[in-house]
Amino acid sequence: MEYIIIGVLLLFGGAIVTIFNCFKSLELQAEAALSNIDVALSKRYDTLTNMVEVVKGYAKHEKEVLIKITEVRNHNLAAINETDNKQGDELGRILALAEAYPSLKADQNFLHLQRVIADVEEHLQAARRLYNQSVKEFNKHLETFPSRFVGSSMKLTKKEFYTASSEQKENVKIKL
Amino acid sequence: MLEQLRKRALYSLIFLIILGIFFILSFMTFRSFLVIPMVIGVIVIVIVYAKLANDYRTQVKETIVKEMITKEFDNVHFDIKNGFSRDFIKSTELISMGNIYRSNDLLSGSYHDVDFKQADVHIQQRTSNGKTTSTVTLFKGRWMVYTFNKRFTGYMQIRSNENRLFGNSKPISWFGSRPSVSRLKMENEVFNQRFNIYASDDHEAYYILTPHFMEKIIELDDSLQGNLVVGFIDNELHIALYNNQDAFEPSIFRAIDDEYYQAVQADIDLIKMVIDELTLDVNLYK
Repeated sequence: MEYIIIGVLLLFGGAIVTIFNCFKSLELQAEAALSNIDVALSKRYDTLTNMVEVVKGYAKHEKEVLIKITEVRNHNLAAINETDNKQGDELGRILALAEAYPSLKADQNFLHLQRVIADVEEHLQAARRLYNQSVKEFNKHLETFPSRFVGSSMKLTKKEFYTASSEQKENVKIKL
Repeated sequence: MLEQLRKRALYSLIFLIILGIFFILSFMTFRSFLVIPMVIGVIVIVIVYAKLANDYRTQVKETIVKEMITKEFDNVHFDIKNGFSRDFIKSTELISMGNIYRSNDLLSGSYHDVDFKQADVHIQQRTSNGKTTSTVTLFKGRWMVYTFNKRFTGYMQIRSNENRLFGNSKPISWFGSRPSVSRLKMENEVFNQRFNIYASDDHEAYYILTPHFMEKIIELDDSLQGNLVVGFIDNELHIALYNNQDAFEPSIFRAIDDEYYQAVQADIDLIKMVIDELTLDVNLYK
């Protein structure tokens, strides 16, 4: 009888540890994805700043050239999300400006920067998707039996999804 | 000329079958004295048939197939006798290697500035317990390698769930020379149901497998007969298609006709389809 009780307790304990590890692993995955978004945004900041410099050479007299690129200052989800959306708008403005200058579109430096930004956008998109997938799995575990009991005892709460503005999603379509 | 060669191969095969039947009947009737000359006869005809059939297939590939692929691709190199080396296939760690390996019809070239290589690969495992010998085919089909348009440093495998040869669709080696991989789920449920994804870097897997790319892999899987294993290794895309078929292979039982030309064209189109559908020619990321 004791063996059965010990066996059941071990099984129960093992299940709790497995669920606990699952939550931790999903949290780490989401944190890593958020950090990757952060890295991509920093790279996007550098690339956009360089793009503005190149654009300035072609459109000296345009007011719109004085685009101030938003930098990542805080590293929490809301701040990263806001920076992401702002940078997306700034990228859109730069590309729209470039449309007006055919010689700028043919500039080798600008073409190179467009390639770089296309790759950065792909990395950014990947990190956003991975973050949201981790959050989806995390929230799903919080809602389903038996992991919801472990989650509530760990005082875990649902995580927020990452949302990119619709304009920004359009900007990803960079054509050379 | 080709037709003459085909007929000679076919007649030698028919002669071989007749000789075989005669050999069995005579062995049952007269037992000993005809056995030795019969065995020698069978061996000679087998050798003659193998040579004629091989000559015919080589001639067809050297003329018809080569002309067709040269029209479709740039920088074509077609080596009928050789294929991928065993070490090259082994290094991908995508499939079990067995103890018998054959590969031929190595085709390399480029399409829309995307370099590719492909060859037929046949891998078997022969085991013997002293009394009986059994041979199991581990892989028979086409192996295609493309230069990938995104840079990556990790290692990823996408394995069909229904794959009978890949040991319940798990990676072959967890302790090989490649980086260790873990199973990953994507946001596309259909893709998750159909494939198991193993990657060394989660972020890189999401970077490579965009929603569009996953849809196209599903479409590719739908359009092909056979099991699919896809690998992303050393900035190359590997597609191993186990369909029990050799590409560009003519049959000696029928003359070269429209159907054969269509089959060769289908084999060529598959190479192009992978590049077009997976947009490997989009050079934005390098």
